[in-house]
Amino acid sequence: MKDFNAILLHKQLLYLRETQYSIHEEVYSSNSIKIPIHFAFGHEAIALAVASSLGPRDKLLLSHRNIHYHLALGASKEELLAEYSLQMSRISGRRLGSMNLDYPSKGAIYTSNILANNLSVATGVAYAATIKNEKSITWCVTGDGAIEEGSFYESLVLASAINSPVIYLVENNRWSLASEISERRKEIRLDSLSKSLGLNYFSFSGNNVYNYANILKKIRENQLPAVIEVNLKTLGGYEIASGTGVRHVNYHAGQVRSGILKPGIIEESNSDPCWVSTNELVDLEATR
Amino acid sequence: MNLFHNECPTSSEYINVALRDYLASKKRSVFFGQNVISGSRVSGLGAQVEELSTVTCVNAPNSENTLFGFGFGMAMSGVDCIYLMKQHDFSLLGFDHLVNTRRLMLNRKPTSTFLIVMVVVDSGYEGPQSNLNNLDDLHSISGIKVNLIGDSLSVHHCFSKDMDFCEIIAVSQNSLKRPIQKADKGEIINGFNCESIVDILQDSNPILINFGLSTELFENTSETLKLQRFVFHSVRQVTINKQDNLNFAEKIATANRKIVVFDSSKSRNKVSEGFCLELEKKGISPLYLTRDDEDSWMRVSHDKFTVNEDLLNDYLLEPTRGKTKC
Repeated sequence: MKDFNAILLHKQLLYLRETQYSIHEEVYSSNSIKIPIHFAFGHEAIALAVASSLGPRDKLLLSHRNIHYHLALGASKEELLAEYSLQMSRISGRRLGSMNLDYPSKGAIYTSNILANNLSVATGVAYAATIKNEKSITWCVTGDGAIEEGSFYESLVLASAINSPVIYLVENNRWSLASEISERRKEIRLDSLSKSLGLNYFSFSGNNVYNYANILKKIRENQLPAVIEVNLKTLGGYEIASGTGVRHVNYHAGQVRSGILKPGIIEESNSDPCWVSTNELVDLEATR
Repeated sequence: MNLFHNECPTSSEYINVALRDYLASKKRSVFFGQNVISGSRVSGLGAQVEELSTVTCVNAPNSENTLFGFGFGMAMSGVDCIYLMKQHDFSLLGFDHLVNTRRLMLNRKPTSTFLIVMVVVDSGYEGPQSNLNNLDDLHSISGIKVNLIGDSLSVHHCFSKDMDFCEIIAVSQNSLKRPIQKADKGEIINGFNCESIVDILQDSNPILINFGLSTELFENTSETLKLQRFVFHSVRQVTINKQDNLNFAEKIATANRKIVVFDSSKSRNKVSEGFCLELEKKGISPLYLTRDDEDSWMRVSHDKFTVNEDLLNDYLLEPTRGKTKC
């Protein structure tokens, strides 16, 4: 069973990567799409794990970087390109472009490009489920930039006070635009903060989609409200000259300048969930 | 059954009954805000709401920005809710949601309602907070319909009509403890509460129009004019909406009409200005009574809006009119 699930997730992971890559190539070869797209190379494992953990009535609230979740929920390349071209598709059909793109039929009911905007909305969505006696939870995806906003703290305080069935999932790539955490603030200890406010805290790292999915299902069952910090790397960054040396700059949005765009489209490191998953399958094969 | 403790209920008592009736009409709802079910609540508003079995009350933490998003989230998910807040200036912290979240939600045509009831502190003693007594700015930026409670008819209008999925109801702190102004015979035309549009159109008596929340000065001035045996029509703004203003101006702008416009807002952005311009386009030069001393807005002192009565009398008596502002 583990083999089957691991193989399935691995195939889906590769689909996410290949489709993202294909969309990227199409967008920047034709230059016909003008809206900004925040690609998520390297973020696929958590998106796929969340999508595979969603209950039938669960809700998902996304942020500006959302392509990996839409693909994990079942969107096709053609549908996403249609949305990015402000054409109608079955995904949203609202001409929302990229950064506000939702997918209501799959539970992704709200997406905001305003940093931390979706946290309080998710708290309300989750509380509404409680009021309606629905057996569902609300997942809210945000990033390490948004946890610097006051609304992040406020939402945690409120969710804890009213016991909202919500998971705040922080994709921590350590960057905000071209500023690394150390360049803009001190470390924020989300474990301490969450626990002090009465929320459960979980830290994910390693990019193993199979493990992520298993742990998420357990958290979903009985450990809410919760904060999950997912440590990951956004692939596709680039190097620039800085003083006498070279400085790495994170990929943020638009066209990828280097790194991931090479033959095979998989980075041979544990920062790449596709590489991790490939090795996982090799190990499985070896133990047979 | 008399729902009030006495024959002359205060504004807060009157609003509370309407608020409870509104919530009781919902299958389920959430009533939330800071201190909404503790102590004196929010200037006495919200009394006994927790006794309604279909209402969940949430005494919320002091997280104003998040409380706006919280309300939109519930409305998005099919739960009607009311956010009762004091003071009006807290809304500054929620502008992201009032502007961005609301507009994103409009695309989905939500069926549940998020109602924001805000107390506007306007005694003058609150300092900078009472500098913000103007709802026109909020309406202009957010596009949300803003309802102003000034008398009994406006209370019923606010709570009983078909609502947009998000609306604001603003009440004046100054008026909450005063007896509610009864306006049983009035009608709402294009967001204005007047005794009867038919009566207005039948004669050419002057019309006094009050914009904004502050009603005390308007009422005092009206009483003074009545004592001087002036005959006039009295009109109040009930909802802030630019198009409503233009439509109403179009309706009442008949030849040789004298119109006095009051606006005690402390803002450079007033929809009443557009109203006056529209009247002027129709050949009417209104007397526009508005605040002209911006420096005084920020002072901690009793909030006064003094009308130059000589100017007002001259305007009403003078057969030929000119553009006037004081």
